[in-house]
Amino acid sequence: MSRKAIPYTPVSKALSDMTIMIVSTAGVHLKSQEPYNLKGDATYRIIPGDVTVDALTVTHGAPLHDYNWEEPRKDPNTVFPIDVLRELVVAGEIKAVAEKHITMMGYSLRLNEIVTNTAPAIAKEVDRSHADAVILTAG
Amino acid sequence: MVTVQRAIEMVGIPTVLITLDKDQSSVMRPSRAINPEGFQFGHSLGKPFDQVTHGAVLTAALNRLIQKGEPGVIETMAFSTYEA
Repeated sequence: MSRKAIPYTPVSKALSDMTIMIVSTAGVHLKSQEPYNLKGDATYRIIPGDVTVDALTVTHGAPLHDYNWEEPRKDPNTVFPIDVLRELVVAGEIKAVAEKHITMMGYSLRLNEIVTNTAPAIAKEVDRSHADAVILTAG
Repeated sequence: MVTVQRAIEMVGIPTVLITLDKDQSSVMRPSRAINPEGFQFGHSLGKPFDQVTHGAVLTAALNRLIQKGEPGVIETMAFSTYEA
């Protein structure tokens, strides 16, 4: 698909009936998972929906002036808003937080691999989940 | 990131992007996106532990998700609780 054609899926549910997933290229991952390769990485990580932020960290190859990844290391919610989503569930604004979330590390030169393999694989993961919509962040 | 967004939209799941790099994201024409004005990279939703701003940005993004709007347009928004 060319860049001129913009894929656009209409929203078919009220927000209060939606399960929301986070997909982020900000380099967030579980401390127990393999860190991203700072030289470039086209892989992604699955983050369980019940994760606590103290189990998360950030690995990212960008210079700090392009992306200050030290900030989300202090509080992953700056790029991975899991606690805020949970607050919205409690408030009845959304139905649920997805059972899993997906992260990867942007700032990669392996663009062909990301376009050809990684992005479609992530889309398949989202499609197989029960998520109704996705919030994306990039750091 | 917009590459991933487009792939997800193509399988039928609606998305909204929070981007701090409006120029770069604009090139790829995201399906739906907001741009928190003046936020530093690393603060997509605000500074660490700033729960008020995190909530405001996330709510704004979700509102953008459900509003009808022109695809490819990134909406710049100011958040008064964020100080660079």
